[in-house]
Amino acid sequence: MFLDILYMLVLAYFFGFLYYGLYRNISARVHGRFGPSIAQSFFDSIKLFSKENTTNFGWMFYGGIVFMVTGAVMTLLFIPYLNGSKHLVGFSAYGNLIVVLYLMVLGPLGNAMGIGSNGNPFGAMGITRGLTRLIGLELPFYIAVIGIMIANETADISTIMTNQNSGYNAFTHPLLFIGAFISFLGFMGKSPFDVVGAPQEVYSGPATEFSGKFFALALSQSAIFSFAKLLLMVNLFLGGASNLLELVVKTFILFIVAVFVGNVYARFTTVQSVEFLVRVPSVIALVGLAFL
Amino acid sequence: MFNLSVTPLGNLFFGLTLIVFVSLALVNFASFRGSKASDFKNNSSIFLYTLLFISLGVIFYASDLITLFIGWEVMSWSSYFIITNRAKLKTSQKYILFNLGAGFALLGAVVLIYSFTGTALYSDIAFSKVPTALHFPITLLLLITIFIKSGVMPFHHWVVDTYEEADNLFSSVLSAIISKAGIFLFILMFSQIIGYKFLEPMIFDIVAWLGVITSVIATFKAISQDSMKRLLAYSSIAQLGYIVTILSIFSVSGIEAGLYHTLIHTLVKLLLFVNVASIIYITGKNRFSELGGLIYRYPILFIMLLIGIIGLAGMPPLGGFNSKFLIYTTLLEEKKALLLVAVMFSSASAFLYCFKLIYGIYLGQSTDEVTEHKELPTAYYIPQIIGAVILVVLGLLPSVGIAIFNPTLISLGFEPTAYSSLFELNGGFASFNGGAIMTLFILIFVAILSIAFSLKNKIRERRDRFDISYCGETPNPTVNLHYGYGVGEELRRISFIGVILRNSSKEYWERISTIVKDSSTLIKKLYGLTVQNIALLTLLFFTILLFVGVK
Repeated sequence: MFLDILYMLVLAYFFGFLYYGLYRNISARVHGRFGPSIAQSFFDSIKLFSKENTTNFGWMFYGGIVFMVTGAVMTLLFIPYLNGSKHLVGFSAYGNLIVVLYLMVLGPLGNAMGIGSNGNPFGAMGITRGLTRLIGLELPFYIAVIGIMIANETADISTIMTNQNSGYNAFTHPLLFIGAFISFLGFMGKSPFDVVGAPQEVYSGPATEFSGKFFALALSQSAIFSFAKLLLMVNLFLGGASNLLELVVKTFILFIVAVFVGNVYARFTTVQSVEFLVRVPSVIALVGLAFL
Repeated sequence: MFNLSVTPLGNLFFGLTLIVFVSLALVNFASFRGSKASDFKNNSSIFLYTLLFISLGVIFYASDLITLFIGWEVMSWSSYFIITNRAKLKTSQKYILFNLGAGFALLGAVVLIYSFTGTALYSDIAFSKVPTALHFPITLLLLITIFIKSGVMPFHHWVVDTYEEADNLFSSVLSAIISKAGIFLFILMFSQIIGYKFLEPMIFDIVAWLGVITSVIATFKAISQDSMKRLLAYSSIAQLGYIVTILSIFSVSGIEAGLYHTLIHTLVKLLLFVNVASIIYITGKNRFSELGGLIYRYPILFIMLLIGIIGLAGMPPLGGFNSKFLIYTTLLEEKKALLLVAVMFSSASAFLYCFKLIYGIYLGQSTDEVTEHKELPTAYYIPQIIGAVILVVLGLLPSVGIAIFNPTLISLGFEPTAYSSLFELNGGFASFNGGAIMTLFILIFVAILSIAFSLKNKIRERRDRFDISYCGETPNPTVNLHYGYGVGEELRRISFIGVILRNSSKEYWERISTIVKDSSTLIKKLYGLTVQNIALLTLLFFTILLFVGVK
C-alpha cells in the first residue's frame, strides 16, 4: 500500500515535470527558438529546493503552501491510475468522482490563503482572477461530468473506466467530451486561459512572492496537479489505460493538444474567458446532456 | 389550550435552537459581567430573547395548527422588537410587513385546512377531506409563508437589510435558526400533515427551480458586497435556496440531504456571524475596504473563520462536504441533471465570496494601523468553537448526522437509512469515507510540512508590511495595497452576471407598494372613515355574515 502510493507520487512528479519541460521546449520550437532542454525543469526544481534564501511571510504563508501541496497530493491519490488493475489505485476506494471534484479545489484554497497572507496585492488579484475564471471553467466541466455520471449510473471512477471497454466516452458522448475538454484546457492554466498569472498585468499573480523552497513546492504542486488533471480526463473520457505505456501515450496526446492550442491562441481577459466558457463549451455540453 | 408534543422532528430543530441560544447566552453573560444594573440599556431585549426562544420551542413542538400559528406570530413579533433596537425604522417595518404577510398566509392555510377537516390536531387531520380545488391555494399559501421566512426569491427583500442592521449577535440568530422555521414548516406541512401524495409534482418542480435560481442570484449578489454582514446575508439566502430545492424532491434522500444541510448551515452561520460580530466589536468596522491584515493579531479568529468558510464552501475534509454530497447524489439519483448543474454552478461560484470574506478581513494589507482595538471578551469564542468542533467531528464521522436524522425520517414515515460505519457516508448513488479523507489529509499535511521543515534553507522573515515585490518599486503608506474591495469587481463586466448585479427586486416591491397605496387612497376617497360609513360597513358585514350563516 505504502509503496503503491509512493510510486503514484513519483510517477506524477516525474511526468508532471517531464511534460512541463516538453511544454517549454515545444513552445520554443513553435516560436522558432531552441528552448531549454527537457530536463531543465527537473534541474530548476532541485535548484529551488536547495536555494539559500527563502522569504517567509508568516505561518499562514508557510501553512498555505503546504496546504496547497496537500490538496494536489490528495486529489492524485483518489484517482486510480490504471483500468482494472489492483495496483496504483491509492485511496480511490474511499472516494468517488464527486470527492475528487471537491478535492481539486482544496489546493487552490490553500494557495489563496498563503498568497492572501503575504500582503501583495498582485497575488490577491491573481487569485481573484482565478476564482472568477473558475465560475466559467467549472460550468462546462460539471455539465460533462454529470452527464458521464448519469450515463454510467455511478460516480465511481474505476467503474466508469471499466464501462468504456466497449467504447470511449469521448466517442459515445462527443459533445460532453468537447465541453469538458475546452474546460480542461482552462484548468491546465495554459493560454488562452492563463489570465491568472499574466506577467505583464499582475506581475506573475499568485506566484509573485514565492521564492526558494516555497517556489519549489509550488512548482511540484503544479506538476503533480497537472498530471492528476490529465489522468482524470483520460479516465473519464479516454477509457483509462491498461498499462503505464498506454497511460503515458494518452496523457501525452491530451497534453500536446493543450500545448498547441495554447501556442495558437492569445490570452483571454477574465471577462472574455468566463463569457466564452459559458457561451461555447457549456452550450455544447448542455446539448450533449440533452442527447443522453 | 396549547397542544404540545415531543416529536423527533421537533427535537432536531429545537436541538439546533438550543445550540444557538445557549452559546449566544454565554456571550451575553460575559458582556454583562462587571457591569451595573443601570448599565443595561436594553433590559427589554433579555425578555424578548426569552420570548423568542419560547416561541421557537412552541413552533417546533406544537401538535396542532393553532398552537403553531400562535408560536409563529410570537416569533415574528419578538424578533421584530429585538430588531428595532438597532435597525432603522424602515428596515424594521420591512421586516414586520413581510413577516406579517407570512403570518397571514399561514393563518389562511390553517383556516382552510381546519374548516374542511374539522380539526387542527396534526394527528387527526385527514387532508383527503379537503376538496381538490383547494389543494393548490393551500399549497401556495404555505409556500408563501415558507418563502418569506427562509428568504427565497422573490420574497427575500427583507432579509439583507434586516441581517445587516440588526444587532450583530442577533443576526446570527436570524440566519442560523429563525430562517430554519421556514424549513421546519416545509417538512412538517408537506411530508407530515398534507402528505406529498396530495401535492402537484409540477408545483414542486417550480419550487425546486425557484430555490436554485435564488441560490445562483444570491451567490453573485454576495460576491459584489462590500459589507461583511450583507455578504453573509446573501450567502444565507443562497444556502436556504439549496435546502428548498432538495426538499422539493420529496424522497427519503432528499429530506435527509435537506436536514443535513440545515444542520451544517446552522453551525456555519452561527460561527461566521459571531466571527464577524467579533471583528465589528473589536474594530467597529463592517466593510472589507476598511479592514484587512488582521490575521497575525487575531490568529484564533482567523482559524475559526477558515473552518467556517471550508464548511460553507462544502469542501472535504470538514462536515460541510457531507450535505453537499447528499444533495448531489440525491439529484443524480433522481436524474435531475439540469438542477444539479445549477446547484454545482452556484456552489462553485460561492468559493469567490468565501475568499472575499477571509481575504477582506484577515489577509492582505491592513488599511488602518491607527485605530485602537477593543479587547474581545473570551466568550465570543464559545459559539465559534462549538460550531468548528461539530464541523470537524462531522467531517470525521459523517454518518453521525444520519444517525441523528433517522428517528425523524421514521416519524415522517420513511425507511431509515442504513449505514455500515459512522466513518462512511452512503448517498445511495455513491459513498465516501469521511474518516479516511480526514486522516489522510492530516497525514499528508504533516508529511509535507516535515519535508518543508527538513529543507535547510535560510528563511528570511520579512521586515515590514511593505517588504513585497511591487514591480521593482517600494510601495509607500499612501498606496492602497488591500484588494478587499476589488474581489468580485470584475463580475460586473461579465454580461450575464452584470445583469443580475444591476437589477434588484426593490423596484418590483416598490411598484407593488405604490399600487397598494394608490388603491387604498382610492378606497379612502370613496369610503372615508366617517361614523356613518363605519356604521354602514358594519351593517353590511353583519348582513353578509347572516346570509352566509343561513345558507
